[in-house]
Amino acid sequence: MVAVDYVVIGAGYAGLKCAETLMDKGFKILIFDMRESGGEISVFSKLSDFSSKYEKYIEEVEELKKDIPVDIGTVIKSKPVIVNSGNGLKRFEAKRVLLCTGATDVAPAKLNVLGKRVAGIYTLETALRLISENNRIGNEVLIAAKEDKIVELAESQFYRLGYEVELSELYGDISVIGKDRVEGVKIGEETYNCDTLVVYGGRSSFNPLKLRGTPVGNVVTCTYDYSKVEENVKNFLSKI
Amino acid sequence: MYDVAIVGAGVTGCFVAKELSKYNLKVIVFERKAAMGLEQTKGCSGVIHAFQLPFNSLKGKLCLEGNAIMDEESEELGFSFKRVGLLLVATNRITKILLPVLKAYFSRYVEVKRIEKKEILEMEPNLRENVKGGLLFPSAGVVNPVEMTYAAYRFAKENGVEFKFNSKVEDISRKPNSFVLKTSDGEFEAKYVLNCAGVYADDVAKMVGYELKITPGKGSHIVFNEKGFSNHLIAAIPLKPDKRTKGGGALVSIDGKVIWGPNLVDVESKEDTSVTREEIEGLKRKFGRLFKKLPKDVIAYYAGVRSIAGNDFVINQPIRNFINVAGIQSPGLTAAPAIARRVVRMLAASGLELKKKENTIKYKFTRIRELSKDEIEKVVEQNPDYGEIICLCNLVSKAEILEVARDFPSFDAVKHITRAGMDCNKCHADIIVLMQRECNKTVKDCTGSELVW
Ligand SMILES: Cc1cc2nc3c(=O)[nH]c(=O)nc-3n(C[C@H](O)[C@H](O)[C@H](O)COP(=O)(O)OP(=O)(O)OC[C@H]3O[C@@H](n4cnc5c(N)ncnc54)[C@H](O)[C@@H]3O)c2cc1C
Repeated sequence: MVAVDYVVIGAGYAGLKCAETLMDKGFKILIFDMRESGGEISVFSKLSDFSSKYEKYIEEVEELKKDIPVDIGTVIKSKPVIVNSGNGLKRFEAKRVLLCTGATDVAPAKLNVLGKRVAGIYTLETALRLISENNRIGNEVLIAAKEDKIVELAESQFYRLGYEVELSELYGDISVIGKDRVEGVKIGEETYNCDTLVVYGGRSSFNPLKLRGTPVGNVVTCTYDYSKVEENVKNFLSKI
Repeated sequence: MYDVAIVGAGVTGCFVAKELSKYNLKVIVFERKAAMGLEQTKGCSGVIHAFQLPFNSLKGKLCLEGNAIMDEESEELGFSFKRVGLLLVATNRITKILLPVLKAYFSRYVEVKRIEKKEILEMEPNLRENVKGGLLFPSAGVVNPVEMTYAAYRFAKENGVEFKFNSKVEDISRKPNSFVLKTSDGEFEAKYVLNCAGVYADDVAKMVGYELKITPGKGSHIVFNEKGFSNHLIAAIPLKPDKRTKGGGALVSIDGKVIWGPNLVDVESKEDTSVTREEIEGLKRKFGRLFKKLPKDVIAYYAGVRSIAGNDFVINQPIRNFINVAGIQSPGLTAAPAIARRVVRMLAASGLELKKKENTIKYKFTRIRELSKDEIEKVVEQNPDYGEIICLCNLVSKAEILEVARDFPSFDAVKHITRAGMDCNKCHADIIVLMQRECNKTVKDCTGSELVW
């Protein structure tokens, strides 16, 4: 069995940064990602408005991707580390495990999205992923979200891609109107005409298998604001 | 010419199809939605009921029979089924006094145990101290309803039944010895027709001139992702039982999530699966009373519409060789395997020749999360897509998603059959992108509900 100093789970900004520093310090590491190297920042790089706002992180990630050998595989257990991939199950021994598995958007139900569960309701995260892959998710988008810089960015991104966009704050119930697809949304006394609802009400850490390890990066801060993620990563690395 | 045409691929239609596929027959199933089980079946609570009152009703009998054969069915078809047990608790003096009487009554029909307060609180530590005792029905269980329906569909399909999806039966005309079904896919002729059309069974019955009245009754649920909060199906013994509903419960899903519901709300539209604030607060009040605290992590609200035709199931043959399997309200999921056997007997009695096939093919859908390490190694070696996990919450691989997606370009079908994306939204985009690549088009549940344009 392969034994290393560190196993890093997740090769987004935080995971890659940690891997780089640890490698520089001479530690033996392995870094895994269930998708591809780059994580969420790779998604943002495919969206024009996001790519200018997140330029610094995108460039950094692009550089890191060149230097850091990421293994594609899903870590399903952390002690010992068990990884499922196209090559079957592999087992590794690690002195320490870093969880860099990132954040995920809070579910619509938790944000009081009520009514019929028709097509055309997305979390911001899902919507961004889909449009980054050149999928069209509708024509008239209502973004119902708490105040956050990411929301303005998303608004201008949708607008640039030819969507009609409206914005609403999150308050009270968000009632979806429609038979098979969103036909409108009622928030408080206001009714919006739209065919797509995108909701954002914050993020929470993504570690559904409850893997054990030291959480670093967006799995701790849970935000779209990568300066916070960066700070968290720096803090962690300064102690190593 | 088909021997049997089935209208509707809910749990009822699919189990009948499964049963018929064991015989040398030509069978076809029409379903107006993009996949099976996406209507009433998807909206139900997933409980395999221990009993249904009154015991002497048709639904009461078929419920007991269905429950009794569920292990056998789950084994044959390869779907998960867990007997988690139903805990009926007394929360006041009157219902406590009633416990011995209730126990004596129920034990004539089902296995039931009296349990004391202390034991209940040990089994369910989150229950409030005011429970005074209760009855445990160990035979009650849970399934994932769409997964169960899919398993029956798959068995039927592997054994030669033809399925037409996105295919609505619009009219039926009678010929001397057969029926012609006009569908959105053209015309089909069959000797026997089975009306398993759920809330639309009245429309289908009308096509052959039979009047049936179906009233839609909505039931809503709240799903919490706090696994282990409670472990049984729990309900308080009511002071006055409601004639129309068992009253729902603090339930669990097959993977241990908490489900509170359903309620019963009369609705005008058969398509009304909206969940309102009032209903959510109602459910929280009703079941919140039983517990010390609310479960954490609301992840979904959902509703289903019951097809209610009076107090009982309507399984009859109003005209020769046309059988209604209608009004299949609760406990239709539980009863489905028993209903299927009953319908086959009715067909035989009306002259359909039944010759058992020598061999039937069993099909087991491969799920990574159910496999041992060695088994995972083996399946990944045959198909590396099993090595690529798409949904981390429920450990669903790319291979599983593609297997369903190749059959159905429906997000809901993929989600409910594989359980990918059931617990959070993280992988939804991945699933859709994958399906988009595989099917070119992704709908939510039916044509007209495009997810991505
Ligand atoms: C809220 C709720 C909770 C429930 N909980 C439970 C439970 O816990 N346990 C239990 O045992 N039972 C439960 N039930 C009952 C159970 O869900 C039903 O009895 C069961 O799903 C009925 O299945 P079905 O196949 O008859 O109907 P459906 O699942 O509705 O299937 C009918 C199918 O026919 C199709 N169809 C209709 N018209 C046409 C047409 N013209 N052409 C082609 N296709 C057509 C529809 O699209 C549909 O897919 C519950 C029901 C509800 C609503």
